[in-house]
Amino acid sequence: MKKKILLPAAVLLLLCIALTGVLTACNKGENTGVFASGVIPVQDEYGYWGYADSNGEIVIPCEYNYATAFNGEYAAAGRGSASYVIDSSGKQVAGPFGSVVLFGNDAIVSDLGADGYYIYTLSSGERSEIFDRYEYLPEPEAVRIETDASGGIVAEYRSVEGGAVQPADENASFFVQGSTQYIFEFGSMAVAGATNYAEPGECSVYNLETSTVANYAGVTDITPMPSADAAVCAAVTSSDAEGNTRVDFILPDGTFINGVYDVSLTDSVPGVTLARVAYNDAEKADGYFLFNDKAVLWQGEDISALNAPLLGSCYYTEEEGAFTFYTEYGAFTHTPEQIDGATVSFSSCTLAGEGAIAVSYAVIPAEGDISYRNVLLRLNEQGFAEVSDVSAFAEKKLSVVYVTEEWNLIVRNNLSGRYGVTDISGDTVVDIVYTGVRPLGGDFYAVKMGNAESVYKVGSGELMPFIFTAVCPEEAL
Amino acid sequence: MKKKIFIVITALVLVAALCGVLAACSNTDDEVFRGGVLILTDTNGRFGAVNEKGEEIIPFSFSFIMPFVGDYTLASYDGNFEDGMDAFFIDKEGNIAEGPSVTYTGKTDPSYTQGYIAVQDKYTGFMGIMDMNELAWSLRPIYDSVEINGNVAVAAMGSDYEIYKCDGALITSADYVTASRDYLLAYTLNEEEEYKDGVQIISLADGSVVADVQNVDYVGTLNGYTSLGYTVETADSAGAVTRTTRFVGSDHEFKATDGVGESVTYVWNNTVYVTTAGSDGASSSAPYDIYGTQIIPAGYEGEPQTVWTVSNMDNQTIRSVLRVGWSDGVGGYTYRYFDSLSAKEISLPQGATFDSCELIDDDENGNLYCYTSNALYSLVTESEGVYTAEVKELLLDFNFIDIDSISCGRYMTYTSMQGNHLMDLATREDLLTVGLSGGAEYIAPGYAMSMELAEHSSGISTVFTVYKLEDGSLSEMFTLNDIIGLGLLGII
Repeated sequence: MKKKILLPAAVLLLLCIALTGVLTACNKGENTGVFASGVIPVQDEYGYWGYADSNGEIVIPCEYNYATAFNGEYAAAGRGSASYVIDSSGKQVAGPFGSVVLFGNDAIVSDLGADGYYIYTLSSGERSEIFDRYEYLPEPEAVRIETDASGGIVAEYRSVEGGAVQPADENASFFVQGSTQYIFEFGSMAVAGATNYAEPGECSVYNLETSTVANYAGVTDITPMPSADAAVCAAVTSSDAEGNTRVDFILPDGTFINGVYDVSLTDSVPGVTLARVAYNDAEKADGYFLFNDKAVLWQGEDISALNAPLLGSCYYTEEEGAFTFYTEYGAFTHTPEQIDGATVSFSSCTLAGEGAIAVSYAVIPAEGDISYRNVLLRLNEQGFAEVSDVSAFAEKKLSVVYVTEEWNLIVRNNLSGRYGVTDISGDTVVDIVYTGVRPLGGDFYAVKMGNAESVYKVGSGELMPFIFTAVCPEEAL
Repeated sequence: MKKKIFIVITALVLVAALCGVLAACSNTDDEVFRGGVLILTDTNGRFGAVNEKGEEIIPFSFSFIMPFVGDYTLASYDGNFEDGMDAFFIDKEGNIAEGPSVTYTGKTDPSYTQGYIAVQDKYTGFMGIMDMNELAWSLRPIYDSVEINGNVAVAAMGSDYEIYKCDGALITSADYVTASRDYLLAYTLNEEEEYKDGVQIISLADGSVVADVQNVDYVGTLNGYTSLGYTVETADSAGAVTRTTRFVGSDHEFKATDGVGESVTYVWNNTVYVTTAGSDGASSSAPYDIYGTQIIPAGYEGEPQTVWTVSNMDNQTIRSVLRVGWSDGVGGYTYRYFDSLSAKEISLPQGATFDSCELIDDDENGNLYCYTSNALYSLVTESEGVYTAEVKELLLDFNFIDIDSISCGRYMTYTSMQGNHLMDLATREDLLTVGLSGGAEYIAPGYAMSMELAEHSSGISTVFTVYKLEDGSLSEMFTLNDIIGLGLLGII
């Protein structure tokens, strides 16, 4: 397995821009950001997809049932049962295929009417060997490729980097045997193996981030928790030659907890799970682990130190006026400004998008009315750092609904029910008149007006008239 | 003035286009040949148009044509306002013009003023205002609804209202809006306690703010269609609460402090029911006009009863007759009647009752008539805004089956055994008579039309004639075959 399968998103974005930089835009319009390839997918009023430039002029006719955004030179688009790889002039450079998932220069495709998939390198036309199934794992950016073999499944993980599916790595492949087969991922961990209660099997636990493998023999039980469909952690039960049973509890960041007698998931908020672990050693107190899919956020024996998430999406602890919030994005520690004679108490916490949380504090004076203070906290590259007080937004009847990567705020006007974008100080960036706003990266936003969408560029306004049912759908990006 | 479009497609009865301003009967606004174009419906139900010579200028190939309020208008091939339509723009020759894609989905009633139509953007489904000369949006189509009242547009976005002139100039924003015939009340709400704490009164004629009452403790609304009222409640430092009610167009204040004084209990148009209380606790109720003039003495019992109403298309009562009862002292009641529009007590002709007398409202002015089986009486007469409520006998021992309308205080359409007639009440001469299979109708202002209808095995045919009506005389303009109705802008 290659080291460091996970490329930071920013690097990937740079790569894409580098790849598309060679294309020239076909008109005077935008050719930056979401228009890097010159065109974006648009849906006409009849439901068909094509591509338009930043003036809303159709460049590739709306005749596809689906169309993805350009990722480098290519995009995927399909009609009927046929899918194609197209270039930005609309030329079908490959296909028809039964299915296409495009990663840049590489695609995983199936032939029309044929079973099985293969990796197709667009620049060379090269095809890989056929495999039976695959699954794309957005985090860590990788594909799991599976081929049925006698007695089990041959599965391998391949990282996706720079628009290419990386070659097979001998460390990545594994072979699964047994009558009950498991292959599942949680966080950066993958568990693959087989159990058969009559005949204990084998299982491997991979850390996809570090490419380390733990192999188990005599496995009698592999328990994905809370379920195989949405595993956030796992427990592997095995027995050694002497018949001693051993349970390992595995967290999504690769933490192994040995000597476990029993594990129970006691509670959760979106993206955060609390587990109670009882140990074989009866003398040892139960441990509590609070974790998201990247890290253990809090652990301890005294659960009373951890406040349950009465409101919102966070657990929190409080120590000497400092509140630490444990969320899907990570842990945020914030000390709200104290006001003489008033008690500041945590009121609510919600995920606000792109690594940010919105926290509300109640300020309770000795006398008089309670007031509320709203702050946004955001994780940056170095961990949590940014804080912004957005209490004044409420006076403007604005609710913050999402924080973009650029630290702009998608807001809703509570009177008009319309959406727009402000900067962190509340100054309007995108007019607050739309029925929906979606960030497209950089200065670009998809803005929705009733049944139609357009692209808004900060400083320029709507780039195209509202004539398309949809532009740049989220799934196409 | 509140304008509403309605579409007239009737086979036999040509409904008059109504004008709501008092001056309409003498003004030169040509509602029939608006923009020089008369829009008609043929016997196939298709819309087209003719000029003042009766020459076809727009072919009868449209499912709908909206009257011209500018150089262009909206038309459709396959829809109408009620069921929704994809609309496009045509010029006065019926040529399709380029412009934004628009539609009507019945989201709101269509509304217009000269030069502008509130219309829905086809793609977004939201509403804005289209400049019908430029074929460009004067108000961006980003609103849930836009309603043009007079020359003022109310644009709603969620629970936020913005009030614009039709050229797109913002007048004010409001939390709540009430419109009447001539004025619009724009309220601001108290954020915390959610009651109205300010009101701006905006003239629908020109968008000017005629009154701006802000930062008060309480503002109530009184919904007289012609006379909008508002009540302001204020408290002084000692806690005494004064409620003051004023009506737009009147300087009189109905005022009570801590319940002592004049309190308005309810309003029907210009008729204001006022309770007057003294500091000794005694109180009495009586009707007043909006200027504070008491119409009849206090002492009526019970609530006034509505015995007759006229409503507009928004179901606003624009006129009603109210019955108020006084005890006769021996267990019965003596009733008296009030016309809400003129705020006058009205008497019925000798021997007539509301069962035997049919009321007829001349909605081009404030006249009110009663007709019985063989007589016509005038009950309320308006002259230059001044009402008199004197019973006048207009026709006696007159042989008619039914009276359809009276317009401009002068022109009456009626049916007799001989056919349908248009009579000039000033001279009592029939200006026009057609057979019973056709209709003669005064079409305000300045035109009359008739239609003779013939049924055949293959369908129906008509002969449709348009007359110019000037100072009590008719001159025939032109005759067309197979026309069955009008597409007119009705103005209420």
